[in-house]
Amino acid sequence: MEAFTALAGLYQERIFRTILGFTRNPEDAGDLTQETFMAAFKSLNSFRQGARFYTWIYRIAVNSTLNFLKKKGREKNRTEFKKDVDSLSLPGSPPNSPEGESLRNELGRRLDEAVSGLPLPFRSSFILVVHEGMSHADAAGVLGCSENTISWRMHKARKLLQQKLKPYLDEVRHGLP
Amino acid sequence: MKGKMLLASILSFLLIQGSLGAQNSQEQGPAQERIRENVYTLRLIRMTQALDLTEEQTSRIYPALGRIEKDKANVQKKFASGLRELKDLLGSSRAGDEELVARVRALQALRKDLRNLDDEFERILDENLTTVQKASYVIFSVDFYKGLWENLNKARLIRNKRNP
Amino acid sequence: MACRKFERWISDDMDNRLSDKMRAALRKHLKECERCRSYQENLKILQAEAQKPGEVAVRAEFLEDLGRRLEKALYSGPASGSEKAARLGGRWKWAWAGVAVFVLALAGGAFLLLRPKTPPDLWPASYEDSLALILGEIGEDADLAESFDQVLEASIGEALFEAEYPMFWEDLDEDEIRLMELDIENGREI
Repeated sequence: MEAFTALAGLYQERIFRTILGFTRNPEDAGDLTQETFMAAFKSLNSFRQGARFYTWIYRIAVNSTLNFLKKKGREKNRTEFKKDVDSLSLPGSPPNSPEGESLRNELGRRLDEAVSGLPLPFRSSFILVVHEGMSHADAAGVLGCSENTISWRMHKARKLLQQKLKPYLDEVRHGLP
Repeated sequence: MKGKMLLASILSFLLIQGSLGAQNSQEQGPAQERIRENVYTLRLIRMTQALDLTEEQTSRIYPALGRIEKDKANVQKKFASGLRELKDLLGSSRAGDEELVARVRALQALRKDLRNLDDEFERILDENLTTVQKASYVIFSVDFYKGLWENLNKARLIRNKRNP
Repeated sequence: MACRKFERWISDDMDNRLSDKMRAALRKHLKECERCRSYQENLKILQAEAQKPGEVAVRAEFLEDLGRRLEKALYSGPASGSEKAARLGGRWKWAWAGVAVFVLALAGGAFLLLRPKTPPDLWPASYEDSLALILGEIGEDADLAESFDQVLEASIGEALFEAEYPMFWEDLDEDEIRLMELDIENGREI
């Protein structure tokens, strides 16, 4: 058990961050992280020798989180991913100024909202590939689909995010020296 | 056979076969005719990919395929026309038993012609494919049919969401 | 059409998925296309923003909590024998059996009503017979015919122009199909 607890220590923060990307709630993410490691410990027999612990533990984490979200109805109640973009009213300021910093912060906040509004399959892929830096192959292993499906989902997720956030992105770009 | 060569050969072949749809558009309805054409096109592309046909094989198989599809289109045209006449006849209740039987037999014969054309296509493949490709074709045929059915289920979902 | 293909390549390039040949073709296109350059720059900004570390950290005592919970889970016993017997046996067993039968009947009925239609096992069947079955299913439903035609055209487009990205329909769920439907309605590529 000491060995498993050491492994948990190695992955806990990454798993927590991944789950937080889904739940947007630190308390829920903390509980789910602990549940993930408990479930992993109980099902260690199912972990095949030679398989990657990394993708195995992530798979448990993502499945637990998706089940949690579906039960809570969070996925159904997510902010509807509207195609209409909010009108922009931001000062045109360079990014290093205080105003420019608020522009980036605003973009960051809007991006968080937009990612939360993505359909779950796109959100899952985006979180694993962009937040966690997984390859498409690893993300496919975690989500139980093909690499090409991950590639397609990433393309659609980015396209949707870009469409939603275009005015903010254009402002940030025009503010660059 | 990959990438642009595949694209070029399939597109040029389909352009030559372009009159296929025009023949049947009035009898079968435009939607079903487009479906038939698209299934034919998709089957062609997928088969070429699945069997990894060489340029030489496509130059032998495609023209034969095209001829068979044209013949099938003609048979389909006659079948659709015959079916319409049979429906009219049944609706009018004027026809005697003999006439009905004759028309049904004619339709059965046309149906048999369609199957024979399919068999001819398979014979052509048999003559031009390697052993591995023949085995692949068997698997491809089953997968393609199942794939069509899955596409139909997807289309049902789209249709249901459009018209809840 | 070319820009739509390159948008996909721009996404794959960000994840190091492109071959050298495709990357070179993308670079060439980007030199000539302002629209795609803007798209790529926007995606890079989004990527950088998304990869910023979050503000919420794991609680310092998290690992200790985890160790304690694991230990408890490992060493805590199962429910006492008498509790189990009371829950599952005795006079309750017929009630549980009835519930099980009811649930199975509901599940069976739901399955029969809601399962997607599967193709009849006709192999070896001729192509014409197979196609006739599909067309027969569609029948006079013009909406279904139109939707099916669009799905076929999307498959053809995918097969012809994105041979390196075969789409696996079985991986897609209802939300993704809904988005495809919006794309189809708006005349956008799938």
